[in-house]
Amino acid sequence: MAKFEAGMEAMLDTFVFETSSLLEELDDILMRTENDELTPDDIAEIFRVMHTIKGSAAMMGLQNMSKLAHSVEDLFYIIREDNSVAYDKPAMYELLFAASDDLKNEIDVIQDDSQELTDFTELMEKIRAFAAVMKGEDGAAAAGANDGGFDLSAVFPDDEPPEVVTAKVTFDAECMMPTIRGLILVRGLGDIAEVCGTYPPDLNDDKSGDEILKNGLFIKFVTDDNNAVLENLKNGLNVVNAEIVTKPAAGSTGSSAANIPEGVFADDEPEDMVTVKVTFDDECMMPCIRGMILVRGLGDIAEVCGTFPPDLNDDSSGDKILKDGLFIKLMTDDNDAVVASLKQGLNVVNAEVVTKPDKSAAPTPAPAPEKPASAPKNDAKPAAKKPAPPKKPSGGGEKTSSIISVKLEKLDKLLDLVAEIVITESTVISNPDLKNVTTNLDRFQKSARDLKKLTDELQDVVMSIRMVPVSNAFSKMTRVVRDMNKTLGKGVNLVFEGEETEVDKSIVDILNDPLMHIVRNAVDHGIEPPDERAASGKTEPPTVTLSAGYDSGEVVIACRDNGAGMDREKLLAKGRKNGILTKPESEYTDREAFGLIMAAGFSTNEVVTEYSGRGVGMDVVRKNIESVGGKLYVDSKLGEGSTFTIKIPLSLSIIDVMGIDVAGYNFSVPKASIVELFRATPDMLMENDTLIMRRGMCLPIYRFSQIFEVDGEHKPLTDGVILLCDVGGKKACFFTDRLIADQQVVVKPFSTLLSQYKLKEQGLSGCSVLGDGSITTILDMKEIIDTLEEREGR
Amino acid sequence: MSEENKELTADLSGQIMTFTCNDETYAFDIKDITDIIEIPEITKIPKLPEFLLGVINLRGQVVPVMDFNLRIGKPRQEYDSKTCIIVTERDKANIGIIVNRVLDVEAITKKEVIPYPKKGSVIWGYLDRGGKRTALIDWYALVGQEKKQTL
Repeated sequence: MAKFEAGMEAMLDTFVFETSSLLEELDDILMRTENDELTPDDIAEIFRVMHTIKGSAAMMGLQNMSKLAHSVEDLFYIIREDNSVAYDKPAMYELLFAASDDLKNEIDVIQDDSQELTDFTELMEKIRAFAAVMKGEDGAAAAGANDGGFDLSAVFPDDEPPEVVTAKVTFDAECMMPTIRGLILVRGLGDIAEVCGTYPPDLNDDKSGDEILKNGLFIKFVTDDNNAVLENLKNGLNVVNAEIVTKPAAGSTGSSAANIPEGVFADDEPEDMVTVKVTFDDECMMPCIRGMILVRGLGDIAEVCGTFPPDLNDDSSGDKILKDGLFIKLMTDDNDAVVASLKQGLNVVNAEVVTKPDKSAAPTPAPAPEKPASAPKNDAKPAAKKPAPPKKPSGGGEKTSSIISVKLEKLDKLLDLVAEIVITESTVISNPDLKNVTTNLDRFQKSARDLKKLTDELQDVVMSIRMVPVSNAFSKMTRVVRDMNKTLGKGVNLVFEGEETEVDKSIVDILNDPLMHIVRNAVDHGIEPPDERAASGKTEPPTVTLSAGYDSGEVVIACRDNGAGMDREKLLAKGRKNGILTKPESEYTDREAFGLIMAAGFSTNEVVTEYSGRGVGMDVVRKNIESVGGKLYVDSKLGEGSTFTIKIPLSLSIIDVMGIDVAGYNFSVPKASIVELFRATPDMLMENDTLIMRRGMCLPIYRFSQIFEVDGEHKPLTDGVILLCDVGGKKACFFTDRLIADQQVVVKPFSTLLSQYKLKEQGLSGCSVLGDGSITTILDMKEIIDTLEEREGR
Repeated sequence: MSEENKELTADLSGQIMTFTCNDETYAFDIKDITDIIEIPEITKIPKLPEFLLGVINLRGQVVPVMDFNLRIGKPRQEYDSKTCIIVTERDKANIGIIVNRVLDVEAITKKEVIPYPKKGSVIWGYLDRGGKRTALIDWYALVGQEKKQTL
């Protein structure tokens, strides 16, 4: 089943993007104002967000989202109009957060074909009831007024004077002779109100009895004291409820063609013009936009000359459409096809061809005050245009946005291209052919330098486009902590440090899930319950600190709590119990012991809570981070708290490498993992050339040729270059025959046809085309050192 | 005819490119072939099976190269002026295949294919034209399997 209006698929991406950012905006405001004052600006902003979501959801044909947004909008309408209105703020925020979450979920649902749209009726009822309470009404009564399909318009004659009040009296189902009960009630009102009439009108007619039981009895009266009347009515026998009802804002649909408002037909209309009347159901949100979509959909089969009401961009047209229907004027060869197409539209109850009423039968006294729908050019325009964005509430000055949103893949493509340009530039500038040129190349060299400057700048700019502050990822955690505080009652503060640190967009996306897990863990396991905390004499407020910063080409994100910390012995004991220890307990360093919590199948919390403790948290987090080349460390002090540190390389597809030659193979080692290059002297070498002494450290030394099992002469270690590498604290030395060049490369992953040979797992991360057209293989020193350590550890 | 062979037959484009290696004639479906080039400099990559010689730079793309003779377990033949690389592509994955000599493009009808009976081979069918036999190569089997297949 299609979830949204046909033809709107193309808008889905935009809708999802816009709505998501609006909801994030909403969350921000809610978080900020929950424990603070809700300023009129905030209220207007929330109102605008909800209004926009309502509009765009309606445009997409997503009735459920639209209605939910509408109910919240209504709620804020009340607050906006009357700032002094009293309400239960925490309860309202619960509802708002629930609505925000539901809308967010729904955005996922509409993108997943396997899931049906959610029914938000329950939440909407809650919000409506809440709004009703704010309006000073009884919640249940307000909900009651909306029920059933009973047509209130029959109760309210059009010529009713405004001072007449209508009360609805509901009798219980057991009530015998409700007509008589009604008569008694009306008579009882004699002293305090002047009763003008009732509905059903004739209380002496027995048939009215059933109607009263079904729809209630409506009593019309004029009075000075509404409440007294209601009290009086409520005291009546068998009376369940009595309430004031008001005339519905929009009259209900007139169903027949006879009910045609003035101005639909112009006198000078061409004869072959057909007028189709489209009736929408009462539930239809944003009928104007529905109308526009319908008109646009007709493009192929008919030429639309105009509509009535003429201006579909005008919000006030909406009510008219609901009341009288939408009239579309068009020229077509196939009336039936047009009607059939219109009938398929969302919310459309009926579509029929109507004809001009005979003048003598329904004389049109004077030209309608509004411009009739016969100016085809002007009127057809709004239909062709994109639906206008819903109007912002007045007060907020129109600002032209200086921000555009771009698809990430386009940026990726741009980055790839720039990378290729940088490489190609160096191919041109250091082209071997230039060496044979005898003429003076001064001017060429100057231009080449200029070009290089520009490409460098271009590269920086493109990189910076993709950079976003980590606060995007951090601010989501505020919500997580807030929700947990509600359920766990720990009152944890969340503090940010360095949230302005900019990282590549892809990293922020990767960070979301791990951060969520880590923060949840910190609040759930890290921070002690308040009584325990008080018992241990801690006075400082329970705090979780998220910090971000750079450290030598890496982004460092840390989550620190001042909670209980972890007990090394407990971790080891648990590890022993679960059989995941790989060496004697005494050999475990602190870091390794704490690292146990990241091993699969490890959870120290005895009780599995809503938030954590299923034993599949941290190992998944660690794997996620490692899969993008990052690392996760744990540090802890018993009684003082724990720190989880994530280190992720700045995602740059261009990396600085050192080219090396190993027995005819061209390898490149990322400079980020090289500490220094040096030549070995015989006195440095120890233990049969397997260890080397350097800078006061004794390090293992390996030959690349042995690691990759390539043939080559076995040069003495003093005859080539030694690379001292450091990856995540692990150091080792590597021997290579000679260095080739210091260069920048764009890493290309190996072809899928090669990846079956597990090259990545053996420390070959990809390859790259160099400036001279040759190819180099990029080494992953982390993988190499890990593999070597593992091999020797066994 | 096995299910797999049926699929491959149904997949035939109607033209094949024939080539020889060690005096036998083989053929690829022409729609798998994107280029026929001379052998450029091949960059060796460690830890690969013997028949995968390394990678080449094909207009900025890094393309792996295999030696057909080694792949099917035949001895290596010296490369000469007729030796060339047939660059093939399927599912956006490129691979160059070194063959001794490219012969011709021939038309083929599905009815002509004689199914190859053994499973797990890089050959999926034969063409027999007056005693001149051509083996049809299954591209996926050729590049997808780790172990060398002997005929």
